[in-house]
Amino acid sequence: MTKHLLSILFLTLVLVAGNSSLAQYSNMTSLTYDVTLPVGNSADFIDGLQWRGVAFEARRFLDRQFSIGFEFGWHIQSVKSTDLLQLPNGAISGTQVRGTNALPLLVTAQYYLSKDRQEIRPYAGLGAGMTYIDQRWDLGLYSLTTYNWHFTLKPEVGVIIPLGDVDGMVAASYTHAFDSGQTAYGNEDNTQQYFVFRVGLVWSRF
Amino acid sequence: MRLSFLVGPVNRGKLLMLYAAVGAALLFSSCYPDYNLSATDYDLVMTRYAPGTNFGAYDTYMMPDTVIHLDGDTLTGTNKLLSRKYDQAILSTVAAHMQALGYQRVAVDTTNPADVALIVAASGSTTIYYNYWYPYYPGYGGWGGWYYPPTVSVGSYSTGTLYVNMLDPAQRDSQRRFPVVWFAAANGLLNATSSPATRITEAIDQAFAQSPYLKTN
Repeated sequence: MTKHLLSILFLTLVLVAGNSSLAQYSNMTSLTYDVTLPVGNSADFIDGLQWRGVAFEARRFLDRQFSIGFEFGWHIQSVKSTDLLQLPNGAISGTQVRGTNALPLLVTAQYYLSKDRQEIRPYAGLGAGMTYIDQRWDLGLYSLTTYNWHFTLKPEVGVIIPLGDVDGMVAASYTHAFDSGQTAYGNEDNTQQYFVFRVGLVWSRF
Repeated sequence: MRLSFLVGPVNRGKLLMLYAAVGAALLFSSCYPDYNLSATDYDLVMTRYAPGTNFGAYDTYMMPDTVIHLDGDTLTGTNKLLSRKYDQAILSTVAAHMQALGYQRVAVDTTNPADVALIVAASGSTTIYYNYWYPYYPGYGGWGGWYYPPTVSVGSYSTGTLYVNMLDPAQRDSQRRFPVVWFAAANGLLNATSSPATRITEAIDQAFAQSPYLKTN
């Protein structure tokens, strides 16, 4: 399953990048700082805003209001906790450090409300692809780790703001990494979910 | 993206991109935040009990006045990693908690045993680890890059575990084995600079604190 999805992703990227008929349209690359907020299953493991995240995205416009592209991100989430762990018929106390590294690799598509590049352009987009997530659970001297690839969908809304030589980007998205493999913390469902709040710079070529 | 984008005349936009990239690299220079963990952060206390045990029905306990030092599979051996210095403090701390829970200590008597027997034991072991480090520089121009031979660093740490086992002599099986109805295992780094006596006492305190069901009626 994972191999097939990766193949589809790779082929799509090659086709998008290699299609010379699209060369007449503009390109956009962005580098953003991402703050993430785990929700659902992910929040059971690590909760609260997470301040370490970065993403690179390249978009190619098919017309003035529609672009496709790819995105690579790196989102780090971690927390230190001394909460008592309840077990069946017992408990464990000690310092826990829980962490995840999530690396989404997505094909994306966006629709822009405005055609004018000099205006603030709100957009809505969708990303699909694979996310590599490692989870680590350190408990005292013991450490449990898992590594999995998750099929991922990521709806996003944002705005491109003209600033001069470069543009600015502010966006919010929801990453839903579907169940895959095992968690490091014993939960059977390894679906991972988090919001991304993104601010960054955009470079355009016309 | 064409290479000319990167090597063309420098403008403010490209400089900003460079700054942003360098900033991102600095941000991610270490994966996880450094939580400044100390030796006590590696201390762990686990407690488990046998389901269905009615601890309220127990009144008396007996406890040998020695801590059994485990060495591998040997039950009564000695372990060069462990000191006898803390044995009495361990036993008196356990006894104080048992008294606070309402248990009455009686002399060790195998023919007429107390309701429960406490066996306190300790083990220690050393783990050796190796770090392989391969510095590698990516190719530049027509070169294939270069690398240094691997360097290896070796380190070790010693860990200790203190066990407090509560046995029920009345449930002895046909092979004269006593079932464990409750146990606590406190695990941590040995030879740490922070006070071992305090860490051991706190671990025992925590083991009883997270086992309120041990209280007698």
